[in-house]
Amino acid sequence: MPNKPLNVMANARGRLLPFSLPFRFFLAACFYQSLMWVLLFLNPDDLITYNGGAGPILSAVHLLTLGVLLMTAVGASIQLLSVSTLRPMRSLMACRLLSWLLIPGVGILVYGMMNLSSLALVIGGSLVTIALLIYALLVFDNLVFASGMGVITAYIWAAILSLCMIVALGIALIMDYYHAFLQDHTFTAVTHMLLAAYGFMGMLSLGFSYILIPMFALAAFQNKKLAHTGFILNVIALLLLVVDLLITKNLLLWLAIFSGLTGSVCYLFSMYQILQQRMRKRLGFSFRMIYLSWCALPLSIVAGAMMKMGIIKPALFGVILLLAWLLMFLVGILQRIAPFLTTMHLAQGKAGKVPTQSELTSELSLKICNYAYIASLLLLISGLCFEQSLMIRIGSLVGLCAGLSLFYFLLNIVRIKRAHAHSVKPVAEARQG
Amino acid sequence: MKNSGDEIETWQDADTWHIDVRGLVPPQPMVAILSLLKSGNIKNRLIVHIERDPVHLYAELEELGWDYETNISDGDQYLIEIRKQANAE
Repeated sequence: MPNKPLNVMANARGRLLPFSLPFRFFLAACFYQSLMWVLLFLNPDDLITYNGGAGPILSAVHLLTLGVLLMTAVGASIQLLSVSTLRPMRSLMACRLLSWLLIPGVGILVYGMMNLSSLALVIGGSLVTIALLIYALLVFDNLVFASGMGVITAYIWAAILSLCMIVALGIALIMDYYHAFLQDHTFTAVTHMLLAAYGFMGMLSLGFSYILIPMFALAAFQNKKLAHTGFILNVIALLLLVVDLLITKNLLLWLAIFSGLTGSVCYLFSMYQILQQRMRKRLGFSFRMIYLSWCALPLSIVAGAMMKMGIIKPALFGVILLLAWLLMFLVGILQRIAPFLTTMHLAQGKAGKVPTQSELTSELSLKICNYAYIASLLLLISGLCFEQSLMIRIGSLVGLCAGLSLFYFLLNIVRIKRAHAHSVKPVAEARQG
Repeated sequence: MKNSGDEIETWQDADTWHIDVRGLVPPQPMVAILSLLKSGNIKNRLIVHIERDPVHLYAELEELGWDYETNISDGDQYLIEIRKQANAE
């Protein structure tokens, strides 16, 4: 029996979005990441002394959170959710609209933050807000009837609720620049940032881990009790943190830190158990980024406590939280998910051999990217600890190399995909001879 | 013979084994299929009942020395026929 993949174009195809949709988010993320490194390279002293407020560092932070983290998460999740829940996204047009609003919206918003341009802040803020509401509705619609996803769905709901709060707080912060109605702008900004990092991005990352890590490692996810315990602890930590920042001021903070640390240990132990029983022994170079990011998750909570005690600077906490935990995790995942999704696209309705995931992976650019990330992170942390702007400049340049390598990695996949799409015939055509 | 597991159903029909992995969230279908193949119970043929085209399974099957053929039964249901490769032991 010769190996024959699917011989009829199937309904599963409807669950796959056009190839360009997730990839436009991924490529935009690479572009915004490069801009972020350029901003850090040009403003190292501002990073060392940063304590909040508009300007290049706020712009760099939003390039990272909205431009890189959110962009990657949106691109991956709109495709992954429909594949996992077996329900196609309700509207392809809405997915396209989301990209048309979000990708330029982030650029305009960041420009507004950089130059305190009210017009850019209002236009960029509106575009991003509408895009995020569309995203929240798409996810809600896809998940509301999904079954059998347990803790994954719970994490995604928590992320979407956080997203709604982040958008509301973000709008309030923009309006406060002009109408000064917030009682405490700084605490609102800190709540907005922590909700974005631990609430939206954090919950989304933890939730999708329970699909992606077993999928990449070929392992069953069995200890659901531990995963649920971790979820409950993480949600309690987030609620305590928000209540403390907005209302009780420091009373509940230590409980939040304890709950968050315990929750992250539960999550990490679940991941350890999943990897222990994996069927795929070699996980590849990108998993080293994921391992490092996992170390940074509890470390970021400890760093938050140290910042509260005045031991470390806010910028150092930000670097550990945003770059070491979230960015490293997403880069590691992106390096696996981009070839994974491409293989699925290539396999649909085409005759001929489909390139494997490893054939789509440019090992050299992956290695350059990952080593450069680790080096840039170490340089940034050292630069902040020793207040050396030169180190931050060099770290930013190395980070830029990492971002460009990732960009090449993705472009290479697009190139192979296009070449393969042109070289093989659709199944119906192949049958006709 | 029919064995009902927690969520995954397997049964034997003459010399053919069947596994029904419909309704499972990825990667559970793939893990269940590969675990069954590696268990050594399948001597001749395995039919997989699944509601999606398991495109990532095929490379694993080839590596393990199994041939496969994918067909659609009705609507959204896929039947993957898996056999030992002729030259495999």
